Amino acid sequence: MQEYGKILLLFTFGGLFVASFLLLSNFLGVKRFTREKHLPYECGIDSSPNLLNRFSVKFYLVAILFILFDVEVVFLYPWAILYKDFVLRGDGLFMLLEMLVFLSTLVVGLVYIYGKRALDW
Amino acid sequence: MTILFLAMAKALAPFLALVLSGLLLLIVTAFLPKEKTRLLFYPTLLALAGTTILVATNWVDGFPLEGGMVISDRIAYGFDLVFLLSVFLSTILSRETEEGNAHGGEYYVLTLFATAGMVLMAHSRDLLLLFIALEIMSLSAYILTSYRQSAKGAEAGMKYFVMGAFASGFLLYGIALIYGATGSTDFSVITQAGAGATGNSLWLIRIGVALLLIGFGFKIAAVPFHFWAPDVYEGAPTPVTALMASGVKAAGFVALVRLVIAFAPFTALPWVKILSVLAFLTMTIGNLIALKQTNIKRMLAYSSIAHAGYALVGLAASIKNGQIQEEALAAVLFYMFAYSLMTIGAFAIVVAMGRKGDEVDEIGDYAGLSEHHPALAAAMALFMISLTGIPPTLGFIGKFYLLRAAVSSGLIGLTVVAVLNSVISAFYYLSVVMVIYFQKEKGYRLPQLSYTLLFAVSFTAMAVIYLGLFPEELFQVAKQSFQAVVF
Amino acid sequence: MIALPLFGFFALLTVGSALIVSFSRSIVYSGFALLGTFFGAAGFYLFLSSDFVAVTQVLIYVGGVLVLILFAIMLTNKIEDATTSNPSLNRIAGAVLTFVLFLFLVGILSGTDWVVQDEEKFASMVTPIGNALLSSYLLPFEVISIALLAALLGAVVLVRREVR
Repeated sequence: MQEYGKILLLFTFGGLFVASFLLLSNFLGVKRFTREKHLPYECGIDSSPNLLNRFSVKFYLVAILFILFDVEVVFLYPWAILYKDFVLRGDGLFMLLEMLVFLSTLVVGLVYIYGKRALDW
Repeated sequence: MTILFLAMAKALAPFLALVLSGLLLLIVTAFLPKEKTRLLFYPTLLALAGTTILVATNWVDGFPLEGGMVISDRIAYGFDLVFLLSVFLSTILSRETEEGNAHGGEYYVLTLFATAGMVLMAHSRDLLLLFIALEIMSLSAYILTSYRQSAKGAEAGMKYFVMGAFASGFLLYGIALIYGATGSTDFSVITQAGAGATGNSLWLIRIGVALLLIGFGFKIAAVPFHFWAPDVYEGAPTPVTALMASGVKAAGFVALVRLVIAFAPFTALPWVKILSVLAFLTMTIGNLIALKQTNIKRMLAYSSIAHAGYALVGLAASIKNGQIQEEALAAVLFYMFAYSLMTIGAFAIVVAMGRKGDEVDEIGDYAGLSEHHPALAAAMALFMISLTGIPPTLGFIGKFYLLRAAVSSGLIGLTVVAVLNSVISAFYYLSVVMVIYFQKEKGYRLPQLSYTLLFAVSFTAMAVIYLGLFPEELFQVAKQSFQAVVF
Repeated sequence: MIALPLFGFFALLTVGSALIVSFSRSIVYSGFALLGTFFGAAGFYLFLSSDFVAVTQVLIYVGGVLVLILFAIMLTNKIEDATTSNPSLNRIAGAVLTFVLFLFLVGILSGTDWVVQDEEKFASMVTPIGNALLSSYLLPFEVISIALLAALLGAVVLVRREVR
């Protein structure tokens, strides 16, 4: 439990640090309104607002595939922690085969993604 | 450990066959050029046929295999046969719509995965495995629903997915409560540990079972959890609708059957009352709303809701004084067969009436079918008559078995309601027959006929007539499935 | 001794973020406030000695699901125009009903005989979960890979470019 307490402490200090800087600059900083400072920055040129920002749906596909393989990794963690004990007990090969079966199903998915060029931009 | 593993593998043979063929087809799809994806139709049918033979031989052997969380008894194999038959026929239907063609490959892979999920649901003895199998089947069904990239398909897929995820939430909460009350998710342990439950744990079990019923009730589109069904059935491509109306519904029922068998000794749970109320609502509201439909897919959706209600009557009749009535459960299995055949036949004709990708949806469009294609018209009339439950069709026999079981369990009121509902349903089923035969046609569209469609229609039509006249063999199969209920 | 204020902090974090998610006018604020909710839930899991679940929560929910939600918010065109879908808010009836439900729940919670056990030491859950996953729950573990594959297939199928 102590380790997680340390992580919480890290988060707290990080958060306080950032918050203090933001608040300090808000209260101590000079605010002078200039028109140029509030225009959107586009490499120095003047441009009219570009309204039709169509994002490609490929970003979404990448994110979803990331989640799926992330879940696979989460399942890999306990196995990885226990693998050494299994090897010492003599069950190593069986456990390896188990995990390979699990992984191979997702490797088939990977092969499919590659073949369908789903991640090609 | 390895011995357990091998036992499980043997018990899971149908599931493994389907999954492996799905994986194989997936790899092939990835590298097949687009024009050739039509050809994946044949391996899919081969996989389904092979699994059917495997299941049938296992059923005939009759020796229940157990391994850990899996049980392969005749109940499982019997329902497997229902699933495989439904999926086989639905896949045949897909040949003629565009799903099987342009973007073909994944459609077949998803169908195989959905079937694998259904089969695993029938074979699971543990609530956890049941849930995962349900999710596999449901995920594949969600994607199949929105397979065609149209607005309607996307809407249907979205609705199905959101409501399905919601129902899964109920299911999980119910499983968690039952686990909390009995200390296990295995059906046999639940039955033993929970039978003597008192006080707090009894309440946990009650609420857990209620939540489970809500979750499964959604899957079979029972009232009041049916709101997704018409929109989803209408928006999905018709072969997928056929698969959902037959296979997915039967999968929901196998889960309910397992639930009922596991919880039957719990006399503290008012099973018969709950199931009777559910059956009553589902039948009545399904039939009443179907009366007002003009779109044939929506009408068939409401009719499938109503038929789930009839099957629920059989389920309600299966518990009497804490004992399981095997005849009632056999009637439910028989009705799953019967209903799948009738519904897929009707959907086959809906597919036949449309062109590739542009289906005929309004009932009025069927006018004039009798002059141009008398055989198709007769088949549609046959399916409508069978769905109503008029002798000597299969629909009548199915309902007869269900109601006989209900009467022998003392559910007279429910029987009367079921009969009245059949009478009400005659109005909308026979109106389709009237439109086909007696209405003046206006702009008749020539249906696309092909060998596969003709096969599907003639097979289901002949099955409906034959089994309507000689149902005994099939009913014996169903009855023997439930004889030695092992838990 | 330090546990109670810490628990209060996490509770405040979770509930506060959830309130922001529900009531915020801007959907981007809601999306980012969901981060607080997920972290708060991870903290709760740690209190229950489920460190594996807590780490999984952060990894998958924050690292995956939240990112996906933010992507969806940013990918949707003109999402600032989308306000509450249902204009008929029925605020008074809703507030009354919610308050009654709240009183009901408080009544039940305070009236229950809670079985208070001695506080258990924090025991890492990774090893027991791993052992269970690889022995008694092996089949669901393997079958989950198929569920993930089905989801993968679905993602690719639904995102593909229309060829018509």
